[in-house]
Amino acid sequence: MQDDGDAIAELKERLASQGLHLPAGDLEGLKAAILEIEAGSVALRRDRPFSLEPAFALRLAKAEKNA
Amino acid sequence: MSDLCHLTIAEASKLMAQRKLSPVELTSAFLDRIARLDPLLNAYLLVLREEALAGARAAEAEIATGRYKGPLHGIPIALKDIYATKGIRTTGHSALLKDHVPQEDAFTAATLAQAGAILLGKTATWEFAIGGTSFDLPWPPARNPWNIAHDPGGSSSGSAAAVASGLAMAAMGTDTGGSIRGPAALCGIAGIKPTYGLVSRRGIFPLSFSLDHAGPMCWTAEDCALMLDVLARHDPLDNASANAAKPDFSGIAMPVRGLKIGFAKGMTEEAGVEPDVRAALDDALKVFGDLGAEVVDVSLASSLEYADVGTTISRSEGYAIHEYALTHTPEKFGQSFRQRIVPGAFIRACDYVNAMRERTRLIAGIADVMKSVDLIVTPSWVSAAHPLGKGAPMSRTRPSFMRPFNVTGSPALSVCSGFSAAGLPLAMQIVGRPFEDHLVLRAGHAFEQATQWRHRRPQDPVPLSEAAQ
Repeated sequence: MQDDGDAIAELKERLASQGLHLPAGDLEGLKAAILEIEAGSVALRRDRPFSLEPAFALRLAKAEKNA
Repeated sequence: MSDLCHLTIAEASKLMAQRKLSPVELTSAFLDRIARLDPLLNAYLLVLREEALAGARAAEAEIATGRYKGPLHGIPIALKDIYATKGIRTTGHSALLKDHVPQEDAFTAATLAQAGAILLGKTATWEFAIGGTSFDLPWPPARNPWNIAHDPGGSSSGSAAAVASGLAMAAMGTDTGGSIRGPAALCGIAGIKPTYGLVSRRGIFPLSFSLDHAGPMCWTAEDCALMLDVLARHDPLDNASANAAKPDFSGIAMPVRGLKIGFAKGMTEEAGVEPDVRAALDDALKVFGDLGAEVVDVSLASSLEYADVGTTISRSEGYAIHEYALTHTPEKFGQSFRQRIVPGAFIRACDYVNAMRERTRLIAGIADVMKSVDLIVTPSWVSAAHPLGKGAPMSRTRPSFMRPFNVTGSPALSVCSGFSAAGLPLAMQIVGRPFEDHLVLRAGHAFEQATQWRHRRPQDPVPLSEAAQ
């Protein structure tokens, strides 16, 4: 299990790779916020067919027609 | 004079049209009240005393010479300080824009001015509409008029506090995940997030292009209808603005008899709302039943699904907006803002696309539910207001009744549904089909007329040191 010090160091590296150099006081809260966002992203990675997309396209076409 | 500040727009505009109320007298009453009470509430970042009085004098002259423009003419309003105002400082409640003076008005600011509304000032917000209740910004956070030790909610915190305390007759807010309805709920006023595309966002500092909505916050649903009737206009320069027929708000007083109202029972129970919130909601559903509406249970997707979609989209789009400043001048933002926006840097394009696809499914799901009901009712919030700055941290699993309808773009109104034992407002949310904002407001108005909650106003605040004695 990664200890907190390692996790914060890794987070600093990840932030720096994006050009983000934030105050040290941000990092603990940021770590938790990033984990939450990532958990949400993982939940969205379900395998789902693309058959929804034509329906979406149809709705868009209808909206444009109405416009 | 304070009694004038507790008129609704509907009441004041009738008097104004009959020349029984002077815009100068009304505006002066609000400015005096702001000077007296706002130091305790921090609802305003900027008060435009001279400009407001000049506007009121102009309105008075126009009305006196038969050039009455309509229900907003001479009505004192406020704008959340992310609405651009030409020649008037617009900060986003952030050190980053501390001295920023726009060259143009937001479309909505100009629209309200053309309708004759009088701008009293610019109201406090969470930093760029997301930063949370923060104490490390150039201005303090707004406080809840029902108890200044409590939070007004956000992000349209100052707008809600101003309206609830009689420091503005109406105020504009924005709503990306509940930022109109949340503070409206916690401050005991009415606030509507209109259908996506009904009200232009041009000139309003964005947070999330595909989730941002602009809308009015007022004492009553009827006043929200008067505001929306003016605000709902196509703006070809906001690419989300709908060129659709405007809802007809003239039927606001029509009864709700015969309407079918769906109670989102599963979502409400999943959220674990406080008992007083649930009791107020049950009472409200009974009121609708007594008014002749049919109330049935409806099943919606889990609020967690909406949370994952809404948060992934809003953080991605928000980070895209703020990346440059965050990488160049991070110290100009408050800590809460940074902690909420920066996670967007780590969302993959693939995940954003998945969120957009899932959003399509959720929109279709709500559309299916709304084939069988005219409106959906939920609580607005799980509890009454918490102590200032002591709310639960933003969390993926923290239930939100509001975020789902940013994801779907549905019109959604928060109205006061009662009070907690501590005297803090409770609220319910009424949701409609796209572009049926009028029906949502009609139900809110019917509820307000059938109950006594609009007769209760917060007492004028006193310093916390005196309140404790």
